[in-house]
Amino acid sequence: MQQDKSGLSKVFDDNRALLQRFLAARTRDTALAEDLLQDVWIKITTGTQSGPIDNPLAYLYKMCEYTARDAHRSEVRKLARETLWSEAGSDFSAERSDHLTPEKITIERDQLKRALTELEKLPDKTREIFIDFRINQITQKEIARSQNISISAVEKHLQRAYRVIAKFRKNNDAGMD
Amino acid sequence: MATESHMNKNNALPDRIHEEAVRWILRQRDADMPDSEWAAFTEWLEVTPDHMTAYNDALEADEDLGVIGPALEQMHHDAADDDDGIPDNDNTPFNLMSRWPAFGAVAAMLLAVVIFWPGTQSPKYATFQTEYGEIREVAINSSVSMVMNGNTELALDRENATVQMLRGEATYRVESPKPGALRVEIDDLTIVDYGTVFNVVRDKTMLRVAVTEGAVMIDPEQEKILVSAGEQIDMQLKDLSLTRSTVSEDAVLAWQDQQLVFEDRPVKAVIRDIERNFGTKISVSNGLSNQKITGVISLANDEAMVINDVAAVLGGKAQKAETGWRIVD
Repeated sequence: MQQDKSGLSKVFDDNRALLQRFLAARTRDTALAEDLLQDVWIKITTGTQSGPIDNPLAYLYKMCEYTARDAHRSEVRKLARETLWSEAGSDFSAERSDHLTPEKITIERDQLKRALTELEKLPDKTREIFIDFRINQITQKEIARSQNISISAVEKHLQRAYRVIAKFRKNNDAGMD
Repeated sequence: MATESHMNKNNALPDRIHEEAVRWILRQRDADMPDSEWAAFTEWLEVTPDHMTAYNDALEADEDLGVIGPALEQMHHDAADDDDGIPDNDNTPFNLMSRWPAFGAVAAMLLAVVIFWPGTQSPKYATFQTEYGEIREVAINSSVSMVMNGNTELALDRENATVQMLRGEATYRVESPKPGALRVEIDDLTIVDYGTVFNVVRDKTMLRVAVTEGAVMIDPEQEKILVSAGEQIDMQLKDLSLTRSTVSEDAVLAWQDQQLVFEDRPVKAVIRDIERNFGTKISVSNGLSNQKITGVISLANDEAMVINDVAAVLGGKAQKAETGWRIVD
């Protein structure tokens, strides 16, 4: 455990420039990239890894990616809740249960249902492959083997599912704005 | 949707870029992506800011798919072919990272918003108390129920569907289309539910809230901290300072199956959970107490066995003390 930890921070030091470059490209914000890199460093020096890591540099890249995703999410949420609370008004302490309107929640539920309906229209095989990959976490390679098709064919099926949702989000946005 | 409008402003990007972006997500979801591919991913991102935008869009889609996928699977479960050695969940930190929960815009708003704010009132309450090791399910009304863990004390006002949590742990389940079906009070903090499943633990000094569906808003007037499904916050009651972590639904609700699931949790927190479930006191010597634990503890086993196992995992030995146990180097 101890060895892994010090090993990981050495790999971090040796590859700092690469990771920084990745985060800068990932966020397009050098100051943020520097902050995120610092966060990753703190995580590896205070956390514990159990078990050996096959590719420590890839592991560090992955930590950087997840840190960037988190930062992006917080940003998105911040925007979302600012909108939410400015719409809710400032008198929510007066009327406890009404300021977040049920209609909003219903709309989101409805969107989910409609997105589900869109995915339902996918061919059986595409749907099966998608579920295996995204929900059961089976790799593209394994799916290719069990379905007896090429890996690029598997990818095509998966791209289709992602396209359906991307399109749904896009139409939805256009409709609501 | 106002909450989403800022996300998809780049509909004009060529399909090719969207496909490449999705491909990077697929590769990351596959078996571990080697560092050479991460370097290639870096180069791809560096080509144009559009690549980052497309990638972030693809991530949103990926997260939505993570929410919708299980529903889709359920609808077609009978048709599904289930004999291809699906790997079981594996509690290494690495895998946890790849299973970090989804926070799609749809997901974040889907089921619930829970709100804390100061202020409380005191109508007529009935007290419910569980003994150590006792798990009790209580229906509050037709759409709200709770499951109390051992050594838990709370006061329930059925008429107003309000629970004052005095100590211990409980999971609340609300199946009501109407917001505000349940109120949980912890001192002068209030949690108002908008239809969700969440777990609350309160000690003398701290409060832990883990959300398994929907989202939680803490202190909407000031801090405005959003906690989404799959996240947990530990909050100090004295100054409301908090730390957040990710947690799986299995881990949050495992105590109801007489199990405790720990994923990279500090020893102190693990010990607290064991103490609560067995109603015992456990001290851990300083040399062992700075570790983190990943694993499952079965509460069906007897106390001595569990504590001996924990001691072994920590690299120490368990000794019986006057009031409880000591784990020493």
